[in-house]
Amino acid sequence: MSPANRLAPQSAEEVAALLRDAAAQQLPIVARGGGTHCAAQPAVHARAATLELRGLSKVLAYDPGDLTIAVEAGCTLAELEHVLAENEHELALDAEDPERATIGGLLAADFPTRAGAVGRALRDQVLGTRVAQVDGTLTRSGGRVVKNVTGYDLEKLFVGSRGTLAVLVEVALRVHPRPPARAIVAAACASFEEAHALVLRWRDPQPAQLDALDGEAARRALGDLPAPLADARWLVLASWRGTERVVAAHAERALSAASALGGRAQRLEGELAHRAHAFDRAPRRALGVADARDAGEPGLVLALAGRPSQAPKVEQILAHALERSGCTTSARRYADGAGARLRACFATAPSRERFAALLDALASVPLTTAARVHLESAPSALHEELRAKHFLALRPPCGGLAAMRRVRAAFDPHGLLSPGAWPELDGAEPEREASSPSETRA
Amino acid sequence: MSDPLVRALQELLGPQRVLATRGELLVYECDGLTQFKSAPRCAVLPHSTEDVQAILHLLHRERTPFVARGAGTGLSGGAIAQRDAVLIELSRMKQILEIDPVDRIARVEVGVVNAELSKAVKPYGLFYAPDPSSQTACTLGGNAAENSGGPHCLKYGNTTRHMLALEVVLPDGTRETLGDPFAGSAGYDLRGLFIGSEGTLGIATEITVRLCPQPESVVTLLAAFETLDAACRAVSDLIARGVQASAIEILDQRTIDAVESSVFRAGYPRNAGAVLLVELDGPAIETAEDAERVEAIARANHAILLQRAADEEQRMKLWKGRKGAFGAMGRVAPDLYVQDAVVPRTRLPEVVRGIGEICDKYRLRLANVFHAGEGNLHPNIAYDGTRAEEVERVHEAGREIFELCISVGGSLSGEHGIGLEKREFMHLLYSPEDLATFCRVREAFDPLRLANPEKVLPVHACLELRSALPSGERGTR
Repeated sequence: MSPANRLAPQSAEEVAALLRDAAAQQLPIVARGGGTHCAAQPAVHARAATLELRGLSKVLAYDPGDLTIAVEAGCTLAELEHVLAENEHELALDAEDPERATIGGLLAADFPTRAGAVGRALRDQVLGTRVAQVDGTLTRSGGRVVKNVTGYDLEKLFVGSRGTLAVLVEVALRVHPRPPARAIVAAACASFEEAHALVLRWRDPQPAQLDALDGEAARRALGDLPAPLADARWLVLASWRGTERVVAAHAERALSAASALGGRAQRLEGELAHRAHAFDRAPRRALGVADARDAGEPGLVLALAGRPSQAPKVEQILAHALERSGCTTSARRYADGAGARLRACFATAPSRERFAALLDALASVPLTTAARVHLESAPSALHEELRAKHFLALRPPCGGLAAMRRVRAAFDPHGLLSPGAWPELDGAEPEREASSPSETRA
Repeated sequence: MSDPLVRALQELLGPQRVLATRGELLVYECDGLTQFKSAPRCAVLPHSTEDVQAILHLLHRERTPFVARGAGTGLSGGAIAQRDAVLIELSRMKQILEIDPVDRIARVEVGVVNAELSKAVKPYGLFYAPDPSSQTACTLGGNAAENSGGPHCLKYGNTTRHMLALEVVLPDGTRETLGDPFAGSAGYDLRGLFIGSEGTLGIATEITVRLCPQPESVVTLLAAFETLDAACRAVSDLIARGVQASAIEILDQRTIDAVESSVFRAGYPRNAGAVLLVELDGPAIETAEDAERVEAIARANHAILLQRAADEEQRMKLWKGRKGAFGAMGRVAPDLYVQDAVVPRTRLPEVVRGIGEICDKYRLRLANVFHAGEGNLHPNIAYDGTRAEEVERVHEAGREIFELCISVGGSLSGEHGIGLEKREFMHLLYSPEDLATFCRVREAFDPLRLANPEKVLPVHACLELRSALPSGERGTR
């Protein structure tokens, strides 16, 4: 991509003006934040211009007494966390790489977050948005108050829309008080079924983190485990936040629940607690699934999402697909919260042939078992397989496709914004050709 | 019956399920907002999603507008039939189809009454969180349309956080499933768009909701203050210091009076200028710690009385007064105008004072009962709807209250919706371009504008959009 095609606006008005110009020339535009979203992106139109939004990094209004903040979309998570730390506040947003990940990028990608995994979904954090539309119009929806049903909830549409409807330029978010203490508890389980039973038990009171790792993954993330946990086939980790007294009581209760189920559990302290916390903050890095900053190439992470009660069945489906394709994971991870997520992580990606076989095996799974496959991270070498097999296609049973197309057309009638992010939703299909992956990450 | 459309609907559903006489339609002339009245062309009573599909297919073919209605408890006129619309009454669809206590979801038809769901899941140790004051009557379908709130939405969030998937029928009769409870996102969150769209994008017929575990302990506190101002300052302090209450409610002196003189009597101190109700729920150790913090903050703001409900009976009594406040206010005057604006919690004291001054200026009787923890105000203005001059003063005061709330960064509605009542105020908050975007989204679902016409968006907003479009792109109206 030529430098002329990389645009770096410094204000919402400049974003709008650039969009207006691009639209006049029928130029496709891809908005880009920190470039930290590592899942496979589609090939984009060769003429596409990239709109770099890092220049929009102002905090517009922080009202600590109302627990709200309004920021420009190019603000990084780390910048915002720094501002909020003064009042011991935090966001229910997280990223593996907070120094690079921008608020706008995180929302547009709707990447699964650890806060989302405990029921604080990303989309519920957004109070209002200001967007630049493809014709250069700047519009708002929602507001800056914590409760609001005035007009359509377009914020919900923009979160996860991958930049295909409009370019986010400002966002108002909920802010949360940061609890002073944390307790982390781990339990060794002899099987996935045992781990699953414990996960269901530890759901109440609601933890800040609830994760299970296979033995190899646990040792990779936490290092050498102390004797009672050392031979775990699966290790369940949970943490609670609150005052010292409250979290100590929750940890005690969790240990009793684990021992009632026959598990060996203990509260993690010192270095072990530190590592468990680091895993919670950046699980892919802790599991050795290299992210963009570490190696320039992301590792492979596939997730099967489904009903909590079905997790053992989903785990079998995943194990069977891995076995059939000859793929070996470096870590398997099971998280519960808004639903169950079984993840297969590969520190070293499988060969293209084996990966293709894995995709075939997963494609033949009857997904009516209420599971859906998500790609959370993939090295560029595998993108071609993903595209060839239409692996990430939106198709039934995904509902409302026709309505989604009409919504897309209502915002972007000529399909100029991030074309190919969902090829099924593009209007007149623009001519596409592959470009290098580093340029296609949004 | 001479109306051919009524005959066609009767053929579709059977004569018992189509109401078309004046007497039968009287009850459908308005909803909880009684200032606006308009009878539908007829009312139909579907029993299933298939019925709704068949009705909408027919109405689409005939280019006839329609309005969906649950229990008719809405407070913004959302269920009133405009433009001779056919009213689709969904309260017959009241089956609870599935309760899954492990996955903590329930699948229900839209006519299920909000409180009935919580009652049904109670044996599993679960409850449905959003709790509008009308919860013993209002339906979950109506809650979806309005994105309803309630006192406990402070902790649990409005309806949109609890409805995970919707079965909907679009205005052309096509059926879609929007959202998935567990499978994660794929494409746009049309579920999130649909919830709170006030019936203007289509009709939901089935809903999958999230169920929450019943808290281990609940502590309800009452703090009485000499002035409303002091109670508001206490709320600002509670929020700023991060007290995670499940509900923070304020009732002012006039509301206390009305409640204490009614069947909803709760034992609120009549000498107080305002009472603050704070509820905490969760593990006992947490609620005990938080209760001490709440009491300390109330004392620091000069509370004249502090009381903790000693048992469930006392707790229910305290809430009975709050939930019955609107009913109790019926004693004060023949008509009530209830607003629903939201302001930043840091601005509560000054805004509540300002609303009082506006009502004084217009010689109107004001009572306040509101979700203070979210800054969601419910100024209640008592008036006599038969006196045109008084009605005019109510409207003028209403407009000034909206302007005041918006001037401090607030919004028009926190939970009641825009409906008919507030649509002409939308321009106070949104630019013509913002409103045109809403119109385009609406037209993506309903190009003929048949679903709940003339609601939410000011009529001129979409007319302007229409005139700006090339003639070939304009929908038929």
